[in-house]
Amino acid sequence: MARTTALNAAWQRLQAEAERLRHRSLHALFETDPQRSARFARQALGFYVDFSRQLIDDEALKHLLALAEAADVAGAREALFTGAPVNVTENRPALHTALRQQTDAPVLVDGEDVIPAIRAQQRRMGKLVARLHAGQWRGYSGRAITDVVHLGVGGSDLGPQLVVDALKEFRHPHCNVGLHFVANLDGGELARTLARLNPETTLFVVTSKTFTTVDTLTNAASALAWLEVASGLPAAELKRLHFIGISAAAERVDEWGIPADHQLRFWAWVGGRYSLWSTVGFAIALWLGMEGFTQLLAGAAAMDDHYRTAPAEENLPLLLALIDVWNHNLLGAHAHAVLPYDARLALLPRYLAQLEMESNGKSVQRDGTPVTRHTAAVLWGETGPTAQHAFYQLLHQGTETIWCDFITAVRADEWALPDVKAHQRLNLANCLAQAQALAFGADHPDPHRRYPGNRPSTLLLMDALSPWQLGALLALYEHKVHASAVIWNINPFDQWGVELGKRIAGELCTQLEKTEDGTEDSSLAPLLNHIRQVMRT
Amino acid sequence: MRIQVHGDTVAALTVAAVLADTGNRVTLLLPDDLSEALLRQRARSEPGLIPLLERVEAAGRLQVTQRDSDLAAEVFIFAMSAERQGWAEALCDEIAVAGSAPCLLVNRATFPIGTSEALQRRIAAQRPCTLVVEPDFISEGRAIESYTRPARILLGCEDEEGVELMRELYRPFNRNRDVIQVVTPRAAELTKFATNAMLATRISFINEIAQLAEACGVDVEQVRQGLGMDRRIGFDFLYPGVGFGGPNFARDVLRLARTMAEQGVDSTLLDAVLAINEQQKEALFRKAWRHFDRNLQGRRFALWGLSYKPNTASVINAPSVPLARALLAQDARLAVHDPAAADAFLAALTEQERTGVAVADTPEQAASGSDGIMLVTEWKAYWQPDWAALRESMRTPVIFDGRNIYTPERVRAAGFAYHGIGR
Repeated sequence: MARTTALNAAWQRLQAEAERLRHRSLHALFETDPQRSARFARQALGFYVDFSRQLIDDEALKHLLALAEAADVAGAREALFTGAPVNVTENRPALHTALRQQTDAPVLVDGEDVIPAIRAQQRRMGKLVARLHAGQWRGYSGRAITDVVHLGVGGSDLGPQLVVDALKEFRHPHCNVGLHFVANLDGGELARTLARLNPETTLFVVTSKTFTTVDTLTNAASALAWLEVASGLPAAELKRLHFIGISAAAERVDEWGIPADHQLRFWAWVGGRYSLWSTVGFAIALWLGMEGFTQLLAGAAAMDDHYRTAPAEENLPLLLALIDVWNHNLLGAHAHAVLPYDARLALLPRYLAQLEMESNGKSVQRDGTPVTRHTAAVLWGETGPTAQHAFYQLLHQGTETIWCDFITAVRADEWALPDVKAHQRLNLANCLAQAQALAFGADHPDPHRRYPGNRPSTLLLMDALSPWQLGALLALYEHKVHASAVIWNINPFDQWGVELGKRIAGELCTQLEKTEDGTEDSSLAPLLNHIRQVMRT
Repeated sequence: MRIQVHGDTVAALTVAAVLADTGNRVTLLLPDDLSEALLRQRARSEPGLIPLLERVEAAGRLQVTQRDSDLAAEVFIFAMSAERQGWAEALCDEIAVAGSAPCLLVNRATFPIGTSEALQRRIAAQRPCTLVVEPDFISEGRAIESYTRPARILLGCEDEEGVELMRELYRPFNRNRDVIQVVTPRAAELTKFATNAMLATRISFINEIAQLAEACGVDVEQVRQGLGMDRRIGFDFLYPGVGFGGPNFARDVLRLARTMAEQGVDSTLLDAVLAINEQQKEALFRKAWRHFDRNLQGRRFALWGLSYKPNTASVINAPSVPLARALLAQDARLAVHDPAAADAFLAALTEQERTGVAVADTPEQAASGSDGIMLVTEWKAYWQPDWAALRESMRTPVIFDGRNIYTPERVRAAGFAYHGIGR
């Protein structure tokens, strides 16, 4: 009760702060405070985070930090790290932090230390990676595997794909296999991928927490059929040679027919969208090597430590969460754009869209009562330089206020280009220019050419991109999502919202198998009849 | 003539010994990091070379040394291996200041195209020097014969006196008919690379045809005979097998491909030649993989022949090594035999891999208790085995003939399963 009172008081004070600042301009804030851009910037773990272009001042920040305190972010954080069942609707912990822990300090789940099991799976992953790196994983014809297709969807897809794509230049010298990702269930993505591959030398990595995910298992079945047609061998033999299964449900992988030594495990307490740190990141380990994968985990672990121990006013995940709350709940902006000025991070926006919107797109609090405030905003994005030629028009002159995260690496030495520095200067100049233009606008006698300004943004600069830094960046956003969820008092670790559609799809699939028009639900009958008619022709 | 040969190879030893044998005074200078004993040991598998060396050394016409180089010589022959370009450059700098008399530089080493001229310039900056590029066509296993009875002597030289000097030097070997051909230095260098690339191309070509023959149910040996009879094609270097190896062959092809890339010329064909060859080295593995239903765990195989070709102790780029690796990675075990190359073979494996390998004293001992014999290198000793006795001693009687040296019908009649290349 005391907590609720303190929280309400904190929200009320913030409401007043928002009213006070709502009509101030960023221009004026900078003019009255020449130190502003340094004071609203933080440096830690290779990041330089500048949030001086948020419509915020010392007083507002003080009250935002008070809100975090009233919401007991610190307490919730401890519960997260120590394996308490923070995922209340599924009564289990969310221990992605244990997956990347660098020490062997025990982490208990139901009284049992999970670290030894994590290490055992990492060793097994290392062995499978080594066999592929050595060119000694053989397909049915005896030729070495040259291509690995990762089959997974959602959390079992976006994370590994993002990391491999972002760290292309960090390929382990022994990784001579091509990596491919197939997630969509429509068949088109799989067909396009397989068209370029040789069944003799292709290995499939089937990744599904429950090993029942219809998208992934449908793709796996089609991959198997493709191998059967090409080889003329029985399915059981192909499953023995051409598949790795990664799942939390070993018995279902057994049942599907993948031998135990080609299986990798993870656990119920690893959420899908937090799973790239587990064996789900097999493709990452294959690309970077185990050393590179360990670097990625170490970067995330450093951010874990920072989130857990850094003082609130220096705590990067917490500050980013509070900026979201400020814009979304207090200033009334409802969309958030993520804009990497680095083509290597092209997949980051859709990764973060899942992380934020699947975690925090909720309407009830942890106890099931309705929320009284907005939760996750709509998040989307695109690489900045291309988005400048696309939706930036709306950012600058549209009727919606959208707060932006500009993300970039200062050094980009690994590009193999004759004048990489010129590229990077131009890129950084564009990134900073957009932040300036959004913040300060520009007047013009012609209203069509007027820029209102006062549009908030945060600049997130990394010294350079590396496995370690990317690990830290992703953990930064994970913990930001956690801190926001705590403030909104929602459970970020379940996703019941995605179940209903799956169930209805199951029913409709049966309907579509029928060849005759039936007596369906009136909301669907004409549609189904039309589809059947087109399919018949 | 007073000749100084610089080199670290059996070919260098051959050149020095043969030229001393025809009356020249020859010094062979070895690099600091190569022991004379080791080079002499390598020479043992070369027919006739050891007796020749003993003869010319006894006559006082050949001196093998690491130190006292005879820089007063008038002819300097470079016959070092391709990776010793740095040594060659250092030697040129020494020769340049060792005297002022004109000298002749004969480069037999296979350095990148244009290197010979660069070496000459190093000397010519200080003293007059004439360059002759004489590509090394000495064939390991028949070194003396291939040097003294050459099909052609290719000289890359733009100086008449230089050519005359070389004619004089090679007069004893150029009597039957004149086989000397004079071209520019660069043309000579490129000819050497192109020769090896052409031969490699023929091997990969017939290996690709062998795969097709297998798929079509045709014996590639019949096709090979038919091809060879065509005089435009001929029989040489048209044997299907488990791929070419050796220190020079693959490297020359690779280097030529790289030179082409540097010159902006596509090396599509040579890339394919090399890729096919690498695949071919594992051909016997794939046959065993299929024969034993894609599970080789616990199987034992005898490898007959480990060197990259008969009559050499070298396993550089030899198919035996990737073949062994592939088998061991599937938890198979190996018993290997080779008349000369067993030590080099073991040294090419990792410690972990060596635990799965036993070296046998005889081919029969290797075969005993095995699930199959893999003939990798066609040493003469393997051509006529006692099939009945072998069959008795083996656990599973299977012959994997990597060089198509056996007659499939005879082997099958003796109770074996037979797998050849393209048959």
